[in-house]
Amino acid sequence: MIFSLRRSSHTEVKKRQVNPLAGISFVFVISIPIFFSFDITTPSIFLAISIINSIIFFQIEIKKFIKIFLPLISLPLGLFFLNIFFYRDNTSQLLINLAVIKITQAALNRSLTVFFRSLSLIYLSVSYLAAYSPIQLVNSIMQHLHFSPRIGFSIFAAWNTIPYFKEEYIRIKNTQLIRKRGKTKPSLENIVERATTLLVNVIRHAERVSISMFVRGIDNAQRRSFLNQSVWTSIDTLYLTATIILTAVILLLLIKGKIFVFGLT
Amino acid sequence: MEPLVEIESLTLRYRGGDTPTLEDINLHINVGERILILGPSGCGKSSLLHVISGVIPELIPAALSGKIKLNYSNLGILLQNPKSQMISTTVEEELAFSLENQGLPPPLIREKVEHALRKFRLNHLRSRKSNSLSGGETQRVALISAIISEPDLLLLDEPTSYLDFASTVELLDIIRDLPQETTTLIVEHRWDIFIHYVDRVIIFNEKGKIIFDGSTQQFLTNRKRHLRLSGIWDIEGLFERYSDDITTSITLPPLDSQSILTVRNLSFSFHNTKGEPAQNNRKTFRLSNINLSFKEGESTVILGDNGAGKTTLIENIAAFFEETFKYIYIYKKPYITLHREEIYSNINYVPQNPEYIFLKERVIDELHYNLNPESKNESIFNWEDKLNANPFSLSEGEKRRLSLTILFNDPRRIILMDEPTYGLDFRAYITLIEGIKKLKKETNILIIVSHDINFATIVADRIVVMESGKIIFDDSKGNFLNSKLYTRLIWQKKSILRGKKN
Repeated sequence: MIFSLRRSSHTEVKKRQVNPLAGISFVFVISIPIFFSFDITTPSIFLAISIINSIIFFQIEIKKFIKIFLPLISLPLGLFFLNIFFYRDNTSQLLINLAVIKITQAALNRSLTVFFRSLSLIYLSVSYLAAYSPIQLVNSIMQHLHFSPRIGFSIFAAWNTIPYFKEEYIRIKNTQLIRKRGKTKPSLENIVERATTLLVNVIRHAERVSISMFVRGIDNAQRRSFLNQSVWTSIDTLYLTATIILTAVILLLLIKGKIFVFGLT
Repeated sequence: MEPLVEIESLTLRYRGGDTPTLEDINLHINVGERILILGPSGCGKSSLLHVISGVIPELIPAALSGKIKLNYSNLGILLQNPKSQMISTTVEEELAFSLENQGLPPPLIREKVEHALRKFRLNHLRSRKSNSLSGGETQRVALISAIISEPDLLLLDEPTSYLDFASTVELLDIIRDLPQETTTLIVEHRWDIFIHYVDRVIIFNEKGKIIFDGSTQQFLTNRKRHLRLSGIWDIEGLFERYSDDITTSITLPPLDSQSILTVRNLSFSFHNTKGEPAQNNRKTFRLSNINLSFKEGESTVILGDNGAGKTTLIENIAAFFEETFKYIYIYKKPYITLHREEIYSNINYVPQNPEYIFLKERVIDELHYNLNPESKNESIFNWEDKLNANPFSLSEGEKRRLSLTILFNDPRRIILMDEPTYGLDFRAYITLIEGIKKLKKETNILIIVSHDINFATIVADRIVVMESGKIIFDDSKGNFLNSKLYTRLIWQKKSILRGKKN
């Protein structure tokens, strides 16, 4: 299978990924049936599709994926244990009865449902984050959906300054501590003082970035071009169409087979 | 030919401002002119650039009267703080930004970017994230981003304020090599750096009025008068005034005398929160095996280029980073054994960014906060008409002066200053030197980080020079003035002042 070669805005590595916009559309389309389902089969099927997609089409960075995904697993696990131990349905068959621990069939079903649903939604989001940077997505939206370059580049500038402001905060905190001769306890006053200084710097930085964008012609860029183009090819169209059709067909089959259970709880 | 910029009877007043920032400005700028704009802090130099660039009133609201006709089609600008100018994520994209806004075809943009990367020897930075660049690199990228679209008008707002000598030389090379038809306006405090690169000089007084507009030659002929009238930088006056301080070399305390502050085998690198090196995924040691002892009565100036590690060293001494507490000793006790209160009862510090130090809503409250009861409450700078102003609303020069006043009001045994001369005009610079001379009598140890050699030779007893995180010189001022290193640094500087390539 041939995919468009595109230059990443972050690295020189050329990946055979689908367009970030097609990727986010996949996440959105797949998450709809998972979000509205309350059974084990529906999220499991779409989770399997997401895993295949993340390997073939997203080409996720495994290390980055594991780093984000592992800590987040605690959420579906937490929901699982919460439901299995605390969900009470006296009409359901009792599976385990050990002192205070009582697990019913209904509790088990419910915990597995909640577990798979949250796991699938987390997997979907994390696989996208591990494949694309927010910068790539914004770039793609600017180029294909005519999103305002002023807002788009403001997001880039803000993204650039996150590490800078982390360092700034350390400097502000320590400088103010020195001024107070180290005599300070955590208090609202301290937080307000640090936050004020940081906020002033953030606002001033934003003002300068805005001036920089203005004088470099962002407001007159009705027909702006892009050095690093986010290419949308027929493969992306095909990929998106296939995603929608496949999702609809699977969902219809699940509904027809009375496997799909609608629920939001 | 029609002037590029025509300004007649311009008066500018910011919202809420009692007095006009610019008053009755008449200015015609012709194609190809190189103009140096001089004036004291807060005189409206940067505001004039904002009017010419259209930022005022398009982005910054202000009341304007008079006639302004802007005939340029393409503008390049370098702001005071180049870090704030970075918009894109990589250097390559940053260079392409203005070309993209012009809607040029991507192959042509690529060609121009490639050409700029080659011409200005930036190829190694091509894929670097713009937020991982050093100060000097950022300044270069920002300047090249401004000129890559071949502007017919280039505005430079205090372009050397964050630069060391080496970076200043590079900047001047770039300015000199600009096409002849590129009109350039440079706003600066330091006339001596740019005077050989311009053909016209405009001087503002502190009330925002033009008091001189003439050729470079006319300025040089009567410079003493102009400098005195406007209160701007007078390097000759500085040397005349402080010739005794420069030549008087104080003998440093003997090596075996007791050290008050000691730094032993200190190495340090910045890491991000995940424990990875913060810059470009390379392990970058900002400090490498630093050993220093500071003795009673010493005033030390730490010199070095951008990125040499001066600020990192002074921040370590100011107990910013707990991981290095075991390498720094005060009265023979390592920081690690002391509470912050014990450390900070001995140390006071003024950072590079003066705003970090502000805690109150009015200047008067800042002046009274932590005021030493023994202090005579004499401020080194005059705050009479600014007492009720919000510290954050002051001009950059005024903020610097306020942060220094706060420090002088609360002298402790060890005083640390990081680039105290940034953004100061000549009058404030002289006041600072006088204040430091007075402070030297009241405090035990004074450690100042600076890249200003003139300042160092006036106020220091001892000079430490850093390069790439290491100490390459540490001796008395007398020995520094006689060293080859000083000769090399001064030769570089003279090359700049003569307008010749280094």
